[in-house]
Amino acid sequence: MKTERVDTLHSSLNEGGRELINVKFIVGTGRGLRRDQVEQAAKSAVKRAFDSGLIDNPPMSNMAPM
Amino acid sequence: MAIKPVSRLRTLIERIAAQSLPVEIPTIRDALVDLHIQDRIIFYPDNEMNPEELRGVYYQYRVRSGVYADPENISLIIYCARLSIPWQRIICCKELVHIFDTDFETTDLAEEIDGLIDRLLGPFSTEDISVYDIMAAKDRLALYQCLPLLFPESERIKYKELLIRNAVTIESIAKAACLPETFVRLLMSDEWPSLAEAFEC
Repeated sequence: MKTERVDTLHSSLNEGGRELINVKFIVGTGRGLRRDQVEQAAKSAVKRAFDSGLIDNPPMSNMAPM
Repeated sequence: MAIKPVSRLRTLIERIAAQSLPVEIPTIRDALVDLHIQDRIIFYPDNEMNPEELRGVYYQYRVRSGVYADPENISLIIYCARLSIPWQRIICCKELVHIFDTDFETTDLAEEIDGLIDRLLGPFSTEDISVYDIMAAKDRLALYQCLPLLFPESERIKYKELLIRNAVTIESIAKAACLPETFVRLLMSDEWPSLAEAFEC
């Protein structure tokens, strides 16, 4: 079961002709957070990003330089 | 005595050095691409990401558009769009620093993903030391190493002097930099120059 969960995220990062080079996380702030929650959240986030067409949209301060 | 080569992070910091506040994420990204370390760097705001579970993902991968095509090195940074803009900026910049990870620091095997997340979630252990502890420690270090990119040293010195004269507050500096106050407080501390030197940033 444990191997299946890890392979699922790992496999998703190596599918679609992509070769994983590096993956990092900023985990959430919830108490009692489990590894499988983080992995599933990351897997879902990656899927959403690719489903959206990978449109680049960095956060902007929307302020004029001081 | 051999001179230690300037790290690529320091090279990037020097390229950003002349920027005024707020330093925008695309400015840092463009400087990185100019260094030819990555072909593309993409930022994706995720409105469905639950910040209690996850706040950011850095996914670096290689892909070929065709059998005979050169591989393209891409960094995808997925960030939680439910967080404040200052926190989104911190998350994006911290993840950018991972572009400089050495082979030892990269996480690309299934068991490394497992071990890294366990170490990020659990308390630091002094009993069961493993390479994953070092990986997690380096991961946390990136959070501090990204700060000089978002708050160039010349600006830090300027605002520190203004703060000492009570001409500005931590709150007003944070607004000018578009950063969370907790990081501005650290940058304005007397300890920061020594920390930056220790963190090699």
